[in-house]
Amino acid sequence: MDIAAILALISAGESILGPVIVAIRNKTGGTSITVILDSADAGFAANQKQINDWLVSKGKPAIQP
Amino acid sequence: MKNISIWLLVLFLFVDVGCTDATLAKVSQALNDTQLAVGGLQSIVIVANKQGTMNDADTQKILSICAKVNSAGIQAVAITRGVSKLAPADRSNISNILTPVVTAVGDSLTSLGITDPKISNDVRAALLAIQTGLTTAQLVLSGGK
Repeated sequence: MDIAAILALISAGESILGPVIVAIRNKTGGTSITVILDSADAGFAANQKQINDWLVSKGKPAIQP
Repeated sequence: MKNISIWLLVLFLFVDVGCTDATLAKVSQALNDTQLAVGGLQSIVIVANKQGTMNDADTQKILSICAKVNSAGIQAVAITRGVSKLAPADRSNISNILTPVVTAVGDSLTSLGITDPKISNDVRAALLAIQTGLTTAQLVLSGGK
């Protein structure tokens, strides 16, 4: 197998394996990133709700997302 | 030879994906640290407001800063979540979202009008924590792969 064939294999592998890599990441190392992002997302949303609850309690309009 | 090509493929994927994951993890963690700091700040001012040690105007002023950070954070998370690799355009988009918020937090640090010294110190510490989280994300985006 020559270099061109190897490069072709690598290139094909990148496109074919891309979704596989994402799936593996979601099952393994990526889980931690997903979990952290979920936590960040939920935290920001909860913070925003807390602000809106306070605003409403003061008779002020809530902030629209 | 077939084994060599497979190892080259694995090496290629490892290098490419490994570095990407490290950057994503750092940005994700910085964003998560930021939301925790914002939550802490909000609790400080809302409790102080309920106890009557902080007036509505000052409370709302701080909460409006928090709202900006929350909004920017949600957008940054959405961009980060949607990519398996942080391309230059993704980094630029997130940085553009965070930059005005970092400025707003910095401005609020220099213009705190809270009279209660304990609350003022607590608010200042929380704002610094928020600034640290946002700045960390920016530094990773500007320098990391």
